[in-house]
Amino acid sequence: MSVAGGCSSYVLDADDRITQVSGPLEATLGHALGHSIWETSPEAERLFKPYFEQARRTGEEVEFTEFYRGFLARRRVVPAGRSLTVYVTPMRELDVTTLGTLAASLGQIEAELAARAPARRDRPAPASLRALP
Amino acid sequence: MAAPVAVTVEQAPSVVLDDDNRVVEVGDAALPWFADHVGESVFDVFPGSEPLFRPYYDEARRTGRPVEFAQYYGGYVLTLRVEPCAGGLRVTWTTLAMLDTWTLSGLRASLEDALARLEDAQHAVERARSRRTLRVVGGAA
Repeated sequence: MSVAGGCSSYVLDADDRITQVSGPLEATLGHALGHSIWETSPEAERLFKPYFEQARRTGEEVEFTEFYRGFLARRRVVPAGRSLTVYVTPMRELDVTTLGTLAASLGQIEAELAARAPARRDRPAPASLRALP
Repeated sequence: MAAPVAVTVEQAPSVVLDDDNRVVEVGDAALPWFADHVGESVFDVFPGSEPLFRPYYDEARRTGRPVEFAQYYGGYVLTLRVEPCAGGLRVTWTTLAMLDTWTLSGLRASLEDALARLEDAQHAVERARSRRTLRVVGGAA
């Protein structure tokens, strides 16, 4: 699920099948209409599914910020019965150009995530990675 | 008669750069990266790469000898060989590691691996360079 560009949204049915996609995510999710989102993005299941289940269980909006596929993005999950609409707002892209840009952007991403620590599903990087040039 | 057997020979990707570091020749294995960039400066194609690569290209041109080095760029750890040739410099590379940017845990693991491979490759290049230097000194003595 690349989130390059502006905001995107997608709709999942009760079985997490993608029924609608709009915005830049059409390029990466459009081909998966009718399929489970976890088929096309298996690594995302561990990160996103708990929030999706929470939205369905409570019937209330859930918002979370996670790093996935090179981007830090904010996701707002809006339930409607068992269906979910997920609004994706990219916040920061990981810059892998050089070890310097990688260290800087990884540091910024980890700082953003640390600021939202209570909602995180992923542990922070060990100190050794912050020692990059 | 036996049916012909298709044989694929894996070649390391390579390009030839002219004196202004423009791409003038692209090997088959390098086509995915360079097919659309013939005639362009390699440093325009890969922004931010000039300070990482140019010193080695300049060294090969200045000395007229091959130069080998290891470098990280764009999510990849590479070993490269730069050798003067007709038309400029032939740059050949091998990918040692690639970052996994799908998740932070994948990134962490692949970054640790990439840094270790980069360090090993840099040491190997240094050892080879030292051996060559010693041979030259020994031969001159």
